[in-house]
Order: sequence, then C-alpha cells, then structure tokens
Amino acid sequence: MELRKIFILPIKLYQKWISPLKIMPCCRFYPTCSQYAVDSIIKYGIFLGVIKSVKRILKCNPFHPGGYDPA
Amino acid sequence: MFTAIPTFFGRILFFIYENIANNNYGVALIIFAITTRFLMLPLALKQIKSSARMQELQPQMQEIQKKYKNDREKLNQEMMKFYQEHKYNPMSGCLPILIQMPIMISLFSVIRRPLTYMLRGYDSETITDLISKVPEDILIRGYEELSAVSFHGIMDLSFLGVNLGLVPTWRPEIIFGTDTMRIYLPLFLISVIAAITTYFSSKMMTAMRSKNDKKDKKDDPNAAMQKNMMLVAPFLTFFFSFQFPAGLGLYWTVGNLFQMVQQFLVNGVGKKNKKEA
Repeated sequence: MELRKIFILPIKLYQKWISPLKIMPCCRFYPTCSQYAVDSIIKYGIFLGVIKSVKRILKCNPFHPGGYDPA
Repeated sequence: MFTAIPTFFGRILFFIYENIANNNYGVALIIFAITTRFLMLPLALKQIKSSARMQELQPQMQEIQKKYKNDREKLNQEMMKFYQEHKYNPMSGCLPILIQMPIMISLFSVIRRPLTYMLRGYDSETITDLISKVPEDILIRGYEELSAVSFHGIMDLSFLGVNLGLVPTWRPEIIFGTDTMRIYLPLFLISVIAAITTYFSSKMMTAMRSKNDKKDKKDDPNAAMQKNMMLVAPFLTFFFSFQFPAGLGLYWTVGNLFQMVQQFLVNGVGKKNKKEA
C-alpha cells in the first residue's frame, strides 16, 4: 500500500502544481486522466493501474470521443 | 532511453542551427519551437472542426447545466454522456499537451549540455577535459558544459545580445548591478515576456470559450475559478523561468505566440460559422 502512495504522490503534485500551467482543463473524459490514474492505481495496483492509465492518456486526443469513463 | 530523446532533439536543433538558422542559436530555437507546433497542428485542426458544432448543441448543454446546477459530480457525468452521444467534445485532450512535456524536458537537457547532446564529435573524456580547463570563478555549477562552451568559444549562444545559456535571476542587485545589468536585464526581460505571452494566450483561449458558453456569469463558479487560473499560469511561468536557461523561456514564448495566432484564426472561423447559422 505504501508503494502505491509513492506512485500517487507525483500525480497529486501534478494536479496541484503542473496542471494549472495548462491554463484550461483539457481532458476529454470524466474523471480526468490524472484522477483516473490515481483511482486505477488504488483499484488495480501499480502494474495494471499504470498500464490502464497510459492507455487512457493515449485515448485522450481529438480523434477519440472521450466521455464518462471511471476506473 | 533517457539520453536517446535529448540526443534526437539535440541533433535536430543542431541541423537547424547549422543549415537553416545561419549559426544563430536563438533563431534555431525559434524555428525548432515553430516546427514542433506545426507537427501538432493535425490534432489542433481536428479539434477546431469539432468546435464548430458548439453553436447547435448550446441550448441542450445549458439545459443540463441548469438541471444539475447543485451537483457538480452528476453535472460532469451528464455532460460527458451528452458529449459522447453527440460525438462532440470541447476539450482537446491530455495527449496533445503531454506530448509537449518530453520535448520540454529534453530541450532543457539539450540547452544545458550542448556538448553532449547537440554538437558532434565530443566524447565524455573531451568534455571533462574542456570543463576542467575553465577557471573556477566562471564555472557555473549544474551548467558546466555551458560554461565550457562560452569559455572556449565553441559555440555562440547569444541571440540579439542575450546569452540564452544563462539562467535569468530576479535579484534586483544583479539585474541593475553596474557590471551585470548588460547581461541580466535582457535575461529578466525574457522571463517577463514569457509570462506576459502566457497570460495573453490563456486569455484568448478563455475568451473564446466563455463567448461560446453565453451563460450568466454571476451564477457560474467556473468563471471566477478560470479567472484565477489565468493568473496562476503566467505566475508559474515567471517563477519557473528563473530555474532554467533563458533558451527554454524563448521556446516557451514562441509556443505561446504560435498558440495566440492559432487561436486568433480559430476565433475568426467561429465568427464566420455564427453568421452562416
């Protein structure tokens, strides 16, 4: 469980400090990609969680419709 | 893996520097920035086409917003479902933005270590040797290669009289110091310009969206939040610019200007559609 927290911490830091640099929210999904990453790491563990998150980010572009997609 | 990407971008930057930019480091960085933006244009264009549909879907979207006014979680869910149904989405997505991060991080390495990543024919032994010959008092920690490049006159990192290999500072005694003002005042101006262009590019983006949203601003908690966000981005840019060589600030500024031109053209398209509708 501790190891999961280590993976989640940088995502939380991103949400607080890096994400505002983008000026506007940009995610085509709800929950957002970063929140999805946090949720799926908690739900599926680090390995599967990270893979799912990467897949999700790759989908998050104008050629995919986006939408409601919880972890 | 961690050296492959900076090496890749470093070689591209060097090619531009040698063949297109006439050995001007600043011009090379500007062309590099514009090129990366152009490569991402297909994603932007796809998004612009989708935005054109905003007008016709507006009334239904407002209805959903009214209905779930007091439940943000539910509102977000319903909005997303609505977007899915109509194959429409106002956001451009995380991937187009995330692609820029490795470029930024690699570019930082390229600027910081030109002998390793950009120039050809310098192995690590030669580099260590070159660095060791630089007098201690002009060697900048963390930027040893940049110091070596300047000291041995290997490459000219200046652009319009500004040394893009130096890190700007906010300390007034250096910016306005008698010996240092000539160097650090222009560097400080790059930080200021980077922050100002960030502000205006964000302003143009929000202006476009709120015009399309046409809802009562007093009732909208997002409007106030967006206003704050618009100040956060330039502030963070300003703060970050004092941590990295000025070349990165120049790259950021050019990216902002490109974004502004792009947004200007998109806004024009939006107006045209409105007239036709």
